[in-house]
Amino acid sequence: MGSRALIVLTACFALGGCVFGGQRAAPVDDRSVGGPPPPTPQQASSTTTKRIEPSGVAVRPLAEPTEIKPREINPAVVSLLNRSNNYVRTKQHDKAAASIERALQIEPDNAWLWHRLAGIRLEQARYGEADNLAAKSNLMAGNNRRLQIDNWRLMEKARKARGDGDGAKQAAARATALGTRKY
Amino acid sequence: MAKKTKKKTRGSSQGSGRLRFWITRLGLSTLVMVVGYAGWLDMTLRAKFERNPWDFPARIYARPLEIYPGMRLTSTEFKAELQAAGYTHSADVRRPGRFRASGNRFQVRTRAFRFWDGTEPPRSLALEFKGDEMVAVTDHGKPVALARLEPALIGRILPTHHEDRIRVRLDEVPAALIRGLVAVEDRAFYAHHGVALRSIARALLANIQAGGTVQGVSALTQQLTKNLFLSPERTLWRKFNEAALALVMEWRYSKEEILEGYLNEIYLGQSGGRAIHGFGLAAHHYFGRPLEELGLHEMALLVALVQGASYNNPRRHPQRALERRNLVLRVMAEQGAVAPERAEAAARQRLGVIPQPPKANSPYPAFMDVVRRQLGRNYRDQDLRAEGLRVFTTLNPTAQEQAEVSLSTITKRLNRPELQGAVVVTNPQTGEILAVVGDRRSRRVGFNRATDAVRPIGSLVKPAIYLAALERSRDYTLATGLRDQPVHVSDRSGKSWSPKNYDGQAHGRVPLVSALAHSYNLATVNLGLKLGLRRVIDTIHRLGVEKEIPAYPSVLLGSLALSPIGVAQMYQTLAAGGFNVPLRAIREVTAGDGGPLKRYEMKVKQVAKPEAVFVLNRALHEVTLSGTARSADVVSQAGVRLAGKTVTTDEMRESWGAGFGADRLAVVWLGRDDNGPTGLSGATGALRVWNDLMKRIRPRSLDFAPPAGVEWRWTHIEKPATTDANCRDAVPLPFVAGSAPPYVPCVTARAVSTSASEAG
Repeated sequence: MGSRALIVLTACFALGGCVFGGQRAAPVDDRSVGGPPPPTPQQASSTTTKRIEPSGVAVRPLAEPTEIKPREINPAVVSLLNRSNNYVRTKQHDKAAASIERALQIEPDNAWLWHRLAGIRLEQARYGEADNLAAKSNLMAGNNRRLQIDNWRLMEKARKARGDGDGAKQAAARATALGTRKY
Repeated sequence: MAKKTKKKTRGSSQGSGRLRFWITRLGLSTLVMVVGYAGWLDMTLRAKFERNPWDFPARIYARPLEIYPGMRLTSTEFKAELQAAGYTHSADVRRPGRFRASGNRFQVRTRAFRFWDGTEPPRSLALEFKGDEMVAVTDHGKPVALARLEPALIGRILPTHHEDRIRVRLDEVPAALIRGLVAVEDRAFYAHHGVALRSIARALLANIQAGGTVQGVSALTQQLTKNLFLSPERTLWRKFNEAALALVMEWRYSKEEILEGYLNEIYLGQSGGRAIHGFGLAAHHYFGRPLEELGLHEMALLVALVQGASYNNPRRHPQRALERRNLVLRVMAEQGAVAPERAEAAARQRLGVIPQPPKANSPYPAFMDVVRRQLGRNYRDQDLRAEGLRVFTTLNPTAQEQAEVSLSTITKRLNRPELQGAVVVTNPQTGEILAVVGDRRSRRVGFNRATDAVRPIGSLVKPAIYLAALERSRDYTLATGLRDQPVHVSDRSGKSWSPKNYDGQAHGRVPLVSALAHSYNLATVNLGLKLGLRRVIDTIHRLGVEKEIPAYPSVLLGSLALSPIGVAQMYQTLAAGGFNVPLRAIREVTAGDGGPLKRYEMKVKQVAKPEAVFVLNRALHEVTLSGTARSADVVSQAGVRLAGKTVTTDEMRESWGAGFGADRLAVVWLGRDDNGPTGLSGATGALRVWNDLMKRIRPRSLDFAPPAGVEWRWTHIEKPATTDANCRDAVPLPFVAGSAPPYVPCVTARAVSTSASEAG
């Protein structure tokens, strides 16, 4: 799919270089591949990794990961990300943030957009907001580990800059626990 | 200038020195007075004409529609959006502001528009819809990723003198209009080049004699000064001043400046108590379009209205207006302002006036009220009425329309004359207020129930209590047993108080998830008391409720009173996963020329543990499946997962419904202004409106992809214990990591069952 590949490439460019390695290069939250968490040792023999069937009783299953379709990257969002990055380059951070806010109107659950907005606030030295926005991005990040690591690293920076040494350490620990990746 | 001076010729030689002295004195003082007078005129004129000649009302806009492939919008909704933005349906779409629709395909010629962050270029768009999605957007065959339609004008904040106008710059005014105006009103306008001081004096004298028109000054200038300095008194002194002012104006300002002033000043009609001034506004008032889009016949009509706007009112006296317009066209042709054949062709056109002028009052009074309050925090009233600010709001015309229709339809069906209602719709992730309805008759101006009907929220408070519990994940999970047993508490005055369940029963030990789903009062009060009132109240505050909450046990059953918009703020924090985003009705404010002034940014603050909120929302979703907000409609029809809560307060005074999908949150209140009983429960009242509305606005489903720190476990909620997936009566529940109850191997495996039939 030429056009899709093009969109992916554009998106990577828009995000200031592809931050992903591996198979998934798209800057969308990849909760779509999120399954139930790995079974605990206690449950290893059980069937939790199977598709969950509706139980038919009062409390119904809701997290049927297979139902969540992988999302196409919306070209509108890509164009706004591009625009935002151009504004960042010319130090027009308010406009850069406004472009991300516009994109969030279109895709409010796109973890990448929240991450970008956090990045812009960090550049503006608005550390408290950066910290909160990165946490919001993590909420939306599903099981996208790389994005989670980036968010924790961003929070670490923001907290350090605010003089919250303990908070920064905690964030760093969370990032490390998720895996090692240079930021 | 009360004193008159007489010029005297030289007298006799005797005492001539004395006379000369007096003449000199008199001459000097006259000079001083004349210079002083001229200076005063000049100052008056400059003060009026240069600094801020007119009050321009603030103009309030809806949010612009973002056009992109993949947008969820039906073709019907799109058409309504176009019409709200002032687009007209026409087979010919070569001009901006027009569209053509055939089935699911649209051709739209968009207008350029200056937004806060730049100008949106005009485009020629081809759009295609499939179902409720815009599937393709192209401009001359090339795909368009994103375009922005200019926003609908939804209101203005008028000056107290009720003069309304839209500023136009001379270079924005079509040349044909100016040629027409000059041809008809003052063909010698450009001939009066610069007024010499000498001729001023001569003209002044002539004026005093004539008492009317001024020599040496153009008619347009005179009309302009007359209008600018209009005062009720009709004295010679006033006429004299007017004439002098016109002269000074000609002397001081260029023809272009005077013309631009004229185009903005002139009175061109009336709309109720609102005076229509200037050609910029007149174009919208008569034709529903900006000035630069008008055809020759339309411009001629505006010129025709300069003399006798009410006598020639095209809506009231179309024949008269037509004759006058054609006269204008004839004069234009005679004067060479337009080619005769063009004038003839234009004279054959119909008036083309839209039957109803755009309303001066906003069609969305409740939303405007919210906007005014938010503006009031940053702007003075007089600035809003005079500075021509542009206010870009968050109003979503489609959602607003849907909210109005839902409220009015259902309340009509409920057939209770005293019943009133309010609706608030927001985007919980961004905090934007999309729609506000403050009266079941939404156009009615007055009491805004969405903001001012502050009523007990009853069980709407319960999620805050359960959240306070779930945040202590070591002690509480969805499977934790709560005691639904009678409880007696005494309030501060020492009065004993024993709450009851809605069904009058006590249910003994019930799992937390069921207690919330069925809104058991006893279990909730017991839980709240165990957690401590302070902790509960702190949680309510964290969710975004700012008002002070007295620490009485009655708060656990919702004695707290909030407005619908207050409830929206509280629930939006839940919908946003524990992140508080202050609700906003405004995105940006710009100056009249589009220059950015202020942006109301989205502010996000984490106020609760996202894992606990996730678990709570899962339980609130259960409410929409099997609990008090059960509604087969919304959930089963579209497979959309929502979370919500309904409330019936004591004696059925209030009927509340509040809930959300991933991108839309709605709060509905039904009740009576006199606080009397409505005879409606949450489910028979507000929920019906809420359901109807959710079907119309089609929120995205809550997908419940868990955040890090949440784990799903198959659970026997009655035991409670985690178990195997194939175990009978086991259901998957989310737990804050590490909080799930112990594992118990399955005893009875489930028979093959895949049905998701209704239960409970």
